[in-house]
Amino acid sequence: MSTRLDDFISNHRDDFDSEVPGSEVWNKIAQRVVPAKKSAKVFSFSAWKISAAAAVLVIMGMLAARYFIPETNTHSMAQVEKSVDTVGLNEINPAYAQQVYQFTKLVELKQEELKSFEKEQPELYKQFVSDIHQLDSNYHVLKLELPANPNREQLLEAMLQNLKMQMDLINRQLLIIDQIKSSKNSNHESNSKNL
Amino acid sequence: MELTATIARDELVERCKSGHAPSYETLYQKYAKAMYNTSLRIVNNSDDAEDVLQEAFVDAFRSLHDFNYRSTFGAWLKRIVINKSINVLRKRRVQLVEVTEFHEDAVAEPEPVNETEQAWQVAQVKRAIEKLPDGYRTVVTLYLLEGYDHEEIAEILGITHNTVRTQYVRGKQKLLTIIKEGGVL
Repeated sequence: MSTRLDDFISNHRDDFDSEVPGSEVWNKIAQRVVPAKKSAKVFSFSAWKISAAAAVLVIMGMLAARYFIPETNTHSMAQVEKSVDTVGLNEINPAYAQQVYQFTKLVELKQEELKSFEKEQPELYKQFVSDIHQLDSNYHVLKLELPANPNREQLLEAMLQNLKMQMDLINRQLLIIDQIKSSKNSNHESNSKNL
Repeated sequence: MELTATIARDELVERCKSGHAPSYETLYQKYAKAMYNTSLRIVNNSDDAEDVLQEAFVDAFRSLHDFNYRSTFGAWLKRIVINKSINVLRKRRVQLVEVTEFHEDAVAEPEPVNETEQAWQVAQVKRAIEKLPDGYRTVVTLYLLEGYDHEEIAEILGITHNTVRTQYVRGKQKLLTIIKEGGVL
C-alpha cells in the first residue's frame, strides 16, 4: 500500500469517529431543552388557551384605563347596571352616552347567561367572574374620574372600550362553556355506545 | 454571487422546529457520535468532549429557529461544536499557535518522512494525533478530518491564513514523525 496520509484519512474517514459519548449526555440535554408533551385532555388545553387570551384582554383593559387600581370590595355583577348614569353622560356627548347605555345592557344580559352555569361549573364561574371584575373595577374608576377630568370625551371613549372588552371577554367565556358542554355530551354518547 | 447550492429541507429538523419531542432525540442520535469525536480530537479529554457535546446540542436546539439552511444542519452543528471545543482550549490557556524555536528545529528536524512508504493504520494515526501539541492538533484535525480549508481555519481560530499554513505544515510533519517513532514502519 502506498498512499499519502491525507488520502488514507479521507478513505477511512468514518473509522476515525470510533469513540462513543456516555448515555447520560442525552438525558442532560433532554432535561434542558425537550418540549413537554402536550396534554392529552384536548378540552382542558383549549380552555386554558382561551383563558390566557382572556387574561391578555384584562391587561389591555388596564392599559386602556391607564390607572393602577388597588383591589377594593368586589362588586356584584349586577352593579354594572347601577353604575350607568346616562343622564350625566348625555350632557357630555349624547352619541357616546347612547352607546354606553346599549353596551351596558348587553353586558348585563350576557352576565345573566353566564350566571346560569354557576351551578354546573362553580370553579370556572368563579374564575370568569374575577376576570370580569378586574375590567369592571377599571370601568368604575374611569367613571369616578369623569366629573373632574377636563378631557371627558376621551374618558368616555375609554369607558366604551372597557365595556366592549367586557363583552368580548364574556363571549369568550360563553364559548368555553359551550366547548365543555359539547365535550361532555360526546363523552356521554360514546359511553352509552360502549354499554 | 450565487455560490451556495440550495440545501434540501431537513424533515427531521423541521419536526424539531415544530416542537415534536421524539424528533429531538432522533436528531441527537443521528449526529452525537460524529460531533463527540470531532470535539474529542480538539479537547483531547472525554469529560470535556461530553460537556461540549451537551452544550452544543442545547445551544442548537434553543436556536433552531435561526437555522435557515445556509448550510446543512450537520455543518451548522459542527461549527457550534468546534467553536465550543476551541473555547475549552482557550480556557485552559492553551497556546493555539505553537511556537518552535528556529535553531532547535534546525537541529532536531528529522528527515522528512516519506508518506508513501508508510502502511497506515487508523488506530495508530489516532494515537499519534492525540500526542500532538494542542495547537498543531487543532489545525491538523480541522484540515485533515473536518474538511475545512486554510481560509476557514484562519477564521475559526482568529489567526492569519499564513499562520495556518505554517502551523499545518509543521503539525503534519510532527504527526508523521510521531507515527514513525511509534515503530510501525
